[in-house]
Amino acid sequence: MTGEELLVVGKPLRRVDALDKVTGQGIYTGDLKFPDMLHAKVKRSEHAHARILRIETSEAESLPGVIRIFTSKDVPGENNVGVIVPDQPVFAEDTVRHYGDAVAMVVAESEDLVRKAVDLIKVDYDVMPGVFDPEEAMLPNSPLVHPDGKYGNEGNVLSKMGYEKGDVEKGFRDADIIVEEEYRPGYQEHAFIETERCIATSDGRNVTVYGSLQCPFYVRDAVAGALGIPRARIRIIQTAIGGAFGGKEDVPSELCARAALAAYILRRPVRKIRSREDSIVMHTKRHPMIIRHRLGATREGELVAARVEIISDQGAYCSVGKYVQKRAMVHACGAYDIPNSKVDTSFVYTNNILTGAFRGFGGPQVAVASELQMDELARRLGMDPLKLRLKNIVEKGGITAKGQNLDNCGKGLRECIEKAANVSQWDEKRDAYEKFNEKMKHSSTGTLNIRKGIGMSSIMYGVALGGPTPDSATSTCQITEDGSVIITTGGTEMGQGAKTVLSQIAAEAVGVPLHYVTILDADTSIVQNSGPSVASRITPVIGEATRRGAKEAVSEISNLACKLLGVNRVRSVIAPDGTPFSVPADAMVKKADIDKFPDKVDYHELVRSCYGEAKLLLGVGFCSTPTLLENGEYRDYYTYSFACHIAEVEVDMDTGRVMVKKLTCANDVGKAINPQTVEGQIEGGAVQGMGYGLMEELVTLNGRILNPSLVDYHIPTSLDAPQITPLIIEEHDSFGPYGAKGIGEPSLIPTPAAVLNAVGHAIGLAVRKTPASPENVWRAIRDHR
Amino acid sequence: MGADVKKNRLKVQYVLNGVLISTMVDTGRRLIDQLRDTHGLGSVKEGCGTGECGACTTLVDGKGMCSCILLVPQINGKEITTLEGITTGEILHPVQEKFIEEGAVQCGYCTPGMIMSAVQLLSDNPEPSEDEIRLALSGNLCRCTGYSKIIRAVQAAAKALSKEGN
Repeated sequence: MTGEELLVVGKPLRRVDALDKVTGQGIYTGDLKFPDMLHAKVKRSEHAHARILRIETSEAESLPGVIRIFTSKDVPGENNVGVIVPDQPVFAEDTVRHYGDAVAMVVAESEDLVRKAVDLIKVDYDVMPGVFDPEEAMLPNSPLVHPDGKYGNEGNVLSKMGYEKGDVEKGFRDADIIVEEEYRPGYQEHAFIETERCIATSDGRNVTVYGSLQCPFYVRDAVAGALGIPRARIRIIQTAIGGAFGGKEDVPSELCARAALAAYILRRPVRKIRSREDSIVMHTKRHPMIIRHRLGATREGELVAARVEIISDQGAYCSVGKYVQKRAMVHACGAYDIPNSKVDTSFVYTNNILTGAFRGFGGPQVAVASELQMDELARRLGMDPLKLRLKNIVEKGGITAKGQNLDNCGKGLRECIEKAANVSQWDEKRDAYEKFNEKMKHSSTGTLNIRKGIGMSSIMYGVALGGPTPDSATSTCQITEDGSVIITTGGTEMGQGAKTVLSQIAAEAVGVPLHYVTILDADTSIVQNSGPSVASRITPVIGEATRRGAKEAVSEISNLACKLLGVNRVRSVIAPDGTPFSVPADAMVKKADIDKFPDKVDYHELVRSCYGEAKLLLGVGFCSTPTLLENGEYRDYYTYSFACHIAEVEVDMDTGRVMVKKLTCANDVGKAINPQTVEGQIEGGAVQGMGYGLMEELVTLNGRILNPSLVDYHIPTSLDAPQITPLIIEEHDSFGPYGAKGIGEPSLIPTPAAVLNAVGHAIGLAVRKTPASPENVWRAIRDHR
Repeated sequence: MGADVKKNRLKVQYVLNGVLISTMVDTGRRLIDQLRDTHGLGSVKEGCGTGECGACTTLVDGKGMCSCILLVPQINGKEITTLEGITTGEILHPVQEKFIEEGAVQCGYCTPGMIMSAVQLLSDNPEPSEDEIRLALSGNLCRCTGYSKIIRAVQAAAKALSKEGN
């Protein structure tokens, strides 16, 4: 045993927040109480596109207990917010651009009162024609959502992005077979069980906001802008979060800006809790996309060219749309080595619900297109989809379809595919289900007209924010007099296990058991801006900053231990009773024998001595991802995670109903800091992805969401969720802490396409529109007859 | 049952986590507000307010119900149990313990309701099959876990309880 053995990292330790959560003691925003607290609720727009003529509030104001009604006129600073472009109003001024716009806000003494008062506000509108289809929105005479073009938009086109690599025309000329299809992955609603909420307090000078927030610093900047006060006078404090998945990324900005405004002016605490309907109507959704995908290959199944055109509905405001666009563009051709590729994307304003961040960030949509294309190609070539993929995947040393040299990763994908195929018994089942289906076609005896299918999807995922966006994080580590450790970061615990994983990283770096570590909740006046908690970047980027900070904090302790032991390097050993010791780095001693081992120093003694000698036990960790290459160019992403998911389904041919029976999910995570939480991410992501592919459908009509409830918008229940076998693959990464990469999003991205490919295998034709609901599957079967 | 019709208030009595409560309430008072705001039982979570998500599941005479769509007068004379009522001091219920052990908790917002449904299931049916567990939990939405580890936790709790029973 030498110094390389890990003490805390890599172990399936219990979550640090689990006890609070199983006893109901965790403090979420809704559990906070302040004396004199007021309640607030917005009056939403009643049209998708209209001019506001008059807002009549007198009747609402006359209700006893109604304190004040706020509109755009009350905003002292900038009325517009937005992470990329400031196109979204805190309160609509002269125009409403979708049903989720806030026209006014009631502040009153009780929840009941705010609901009543909101209904008494009368707004006169001059209704304008709206635009609800992104392709129509691109036509010359279409109504304009932001007519002045001040957000860099040309007409309704918010942004165009694309690239070309090689010679695509020549590539298609050389192809023996070309598959060209259109795919329509739809909206997805986050459906976190806890809706968005916040409580703002103020003394008229400083403002504090508590909330269910994924990115407290985004909120801080929006509140500062809206109130016109410096960021230093604002504290945004994150409470426990009841799920986020991207839906609490930048969206709480307007919610919190409105509550902060009321608290700032009224000098009383103001609470805003969105109803489920307000939540679904007002926050961003996963971008629906129209994807036209042309794929060329040789007779032997070697990919030679890809041409992808993507048009996406951005809704009324940009949100983080351009970042989603970039990710969709880079990943549009999938995880394959394609010498000639061209991708064009257009993200277009409409008067629909705005679209933005959702776990996967454009990844699931483009994977639906590229992975169904691979199965279509396999079908036409008469080839096994698994073999077709293995023939074409990009691997270490290769060039991605977008043109990035995979010099630092790329072994994980083959391993994911082979492991998932092996564990799911791909070959045997593919064959057995085909025989079963053939038999069913000719059988007239059974009562159920069932077909079975098995399908796969394999993906790569660019970890963290891509270049040239700088991706950096800061963390501090403080070792206290009793040896316990305090960590600050701007990363947030949304349920994914960030606190546990960061605690494990810090404990490992300091050399102490897990329970020594406390991670402070994000508070923008205390912690550093570590960047947003998005892009599967907490473990690799914020985790690396945490590791570096912890190493720095413990450095004086290690120096002292070296001096006392007379060596140059020490390592930690944690005794069976939990006491940490420093021993010489090359000491051949196991945990169990530490008592009898003489060359050791108790960590607590070292800490006490350091304090006695006035040594600094504080570390500041900083890191930025290695996206910049020596030649001055940027990598699209500093590294990639890989995954292969395999789905097994049964389809009822008479009703179109699909049951997902089994998911086998292999994900390359670099290093599983906590295998149990990694499994939790894989299982949860896969079921959310299955929901997108199979059953989740947001129905809109002229910009209005027709099913804004969990009864009408169906997320998977325990009866829908299948058996899941999570498989952890570890292709060590040279940057991330202990080799870790991200898992949050690549756990979801491949699943929708895997489910759709399994359905395709079962019924012998593709369903190219999500979800594979009974209606869509039944129509596909009928149209084919 | 005493009633003050003019003020729309009623006298109600119920047993909450083993304690007899006798109080006047507004006739329109929701059970969830009574539990959270009057009794300070923060484990009862609201996710939808319309009985769709199950986060506020509370046992009413041993049967799991959404407390957001029950009015307090409807529970007059009944026995109410929340998550706070199944922990005795520092000692966790086996379902709680297994939720921690199996990693069945992520954001934790559905957890109290989920645990209450599991507690009801195991008291009605000490040896449930996987399908029976899935059915019993199907009124409790979870958006984080994919349900796998929750189901495993309930299976483990069933085993632990049957050992305890022996």
